[in-house]
Amino acid sequence: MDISSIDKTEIDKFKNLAKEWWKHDGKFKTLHKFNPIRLEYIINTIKDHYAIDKKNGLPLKGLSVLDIGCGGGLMCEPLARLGAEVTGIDALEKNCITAKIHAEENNLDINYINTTAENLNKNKKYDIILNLEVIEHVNNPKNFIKECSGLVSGNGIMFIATINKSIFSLIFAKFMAEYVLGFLPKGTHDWNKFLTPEDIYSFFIQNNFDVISDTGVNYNPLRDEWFMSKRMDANFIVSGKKN
Amino acid sequence: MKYEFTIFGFGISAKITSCLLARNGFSVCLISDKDQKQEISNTNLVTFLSRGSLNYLSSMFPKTKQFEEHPEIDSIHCELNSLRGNKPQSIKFNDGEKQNLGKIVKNTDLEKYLDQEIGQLRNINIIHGSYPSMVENKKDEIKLKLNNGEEIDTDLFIVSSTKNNLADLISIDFIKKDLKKSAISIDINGDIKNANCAFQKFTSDGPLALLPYSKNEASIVWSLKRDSKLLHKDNEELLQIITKHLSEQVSSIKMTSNEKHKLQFVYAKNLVYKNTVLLGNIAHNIHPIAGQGLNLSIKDIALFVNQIKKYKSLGYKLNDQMVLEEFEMKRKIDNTAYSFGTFLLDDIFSSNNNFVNYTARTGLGLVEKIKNLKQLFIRSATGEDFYKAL
Repeated sequence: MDISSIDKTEIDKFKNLAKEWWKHDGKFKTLHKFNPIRLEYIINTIKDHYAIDKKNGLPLKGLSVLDIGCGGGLMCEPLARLGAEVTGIDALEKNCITAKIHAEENNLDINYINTTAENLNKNKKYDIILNLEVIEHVNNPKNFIKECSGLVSGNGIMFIATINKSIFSLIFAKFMAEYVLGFLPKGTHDWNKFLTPEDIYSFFIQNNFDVISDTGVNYNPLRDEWFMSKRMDANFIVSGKKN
Repeated sequence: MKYEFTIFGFGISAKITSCLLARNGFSVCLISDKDQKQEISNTNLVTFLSRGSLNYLSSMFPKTKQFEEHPEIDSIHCELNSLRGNKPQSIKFNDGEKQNLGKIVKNTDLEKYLDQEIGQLRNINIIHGSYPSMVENKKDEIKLKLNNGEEIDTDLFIVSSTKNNLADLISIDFIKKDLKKSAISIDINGDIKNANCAFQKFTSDGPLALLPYSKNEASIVWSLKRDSKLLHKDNEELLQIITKHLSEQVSSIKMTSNEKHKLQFVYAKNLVYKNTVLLGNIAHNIHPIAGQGLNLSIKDIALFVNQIKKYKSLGYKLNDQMVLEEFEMKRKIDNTAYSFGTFLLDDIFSSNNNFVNYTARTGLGLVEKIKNLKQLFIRSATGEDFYKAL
């Protein structure tokens, strides 16, 4: 994404959008609260898989990451800061410009492209693909995962995070989160499009992946804290390794 | 110069914080608020290090053998003796299977030990006898201008000194109260009946504590109203009065030093403002009645360093506001409870009002009788649960 051609008043608009995306207690508060837990699981899985034991410096140096549906760059920036070579794609142009502006303000070199996984150049392969909270919004998840799989390098890993199709998620992830607690805008999710962990495992296997591990990500309303657990009846993440 | 952390202060909290951060590979600038010649404080003050604090410090500083010989405090005995004619109401805190509650350590010993540690760490740069005269908050860092003209850029600025009215420069509100009390701090040696017991007697003049730090040495701290005549007694007379109060605890004691300290209450409404963090006494200077001052600071420091390490490994900026806010929020309840709790305790136990006094006695009696309640106090005071959750 090249932002040098955008006119100045437009840029100011995007700067404000970036502020909104990155305000930890603002509109995207839930995402900010949720982010450290996802990052912890993802970084630990990457470190285990590539046998990285470096604690300081740039532990992810030399690894390429593709974040599908990158939004304001909430996942891209921490991973870039740890040394990864990060590409973020988003179907919305305004997200890409916003993310680019914020990354530049923070002296981070991240490649943002306004495109979709289906339309991305398949010649370039990535060591790590993040497919987080996207699959529940696409029309044909099976085909979508097939397209994404084509972007993963041999022995590379893909993370898929989504919401389980359960009674629990209907009540809490849909009804409570959108209508009672106001964590998400109303109508964000369509429960019918939710997928079970078994659906995700089978997508992985169909595309010649081995499932490495999975985790549930749950919310404790009393402590206002997200935490990892074995309970996968709402939010969960699965990681798979390409053979 | 540019550092990841700049710490202002040269007391115990400042030193612990700089050692821990430097050990984790961060670049640290330590600005000492003391003249180089007077950097080793000359005081007889002691500190009660709870079991939790001790374990944490020894896990962070594995070479520490310094405090191994100090007697373990396995019980804390309180006695309320202020109502005439009544027999003393007493309460004894201990932790079941005769477990160590903590140790009494001289502040100077702790500082000397930390100085050795600092000397071995290459990524701590010490600037002696200086102070920031200007603090400028930039978007992602802080620019400091020192009184000697030196300029420092830093990701995070940690304030651990109460000197030079720095509070005016950092936009954090404080609740300050002059307690109108002074504490006499006396070093004694002699015959101590039980060096494993910290003893506190609530006399009509104020709480008198006997804190043994070796088999025959102890510190005696007596908090008194500022108009108390006891503050003006000569050493010999004072020793006589104390020996009388502690007749069951000590005998043939000699006084080796005697200091007076004004008691101030300070409570910072926030621990964090933008990229500035308060750690140590500046955040909560509390009454010594429960011996929790330094333990509170060590909890703050332990959580702060942990939080910084964790989020750095997840790719966050050192001064990410969400991370700093989380730190502040997690320490709020404990700090507030101890700050105002000790303030209240002191008020209650030094009251001459019969009703308050009666209530205090009943309260103490209840705590003594209700085992679970007592256990709750002990668990909190030893810091066990906090460090387990860390």
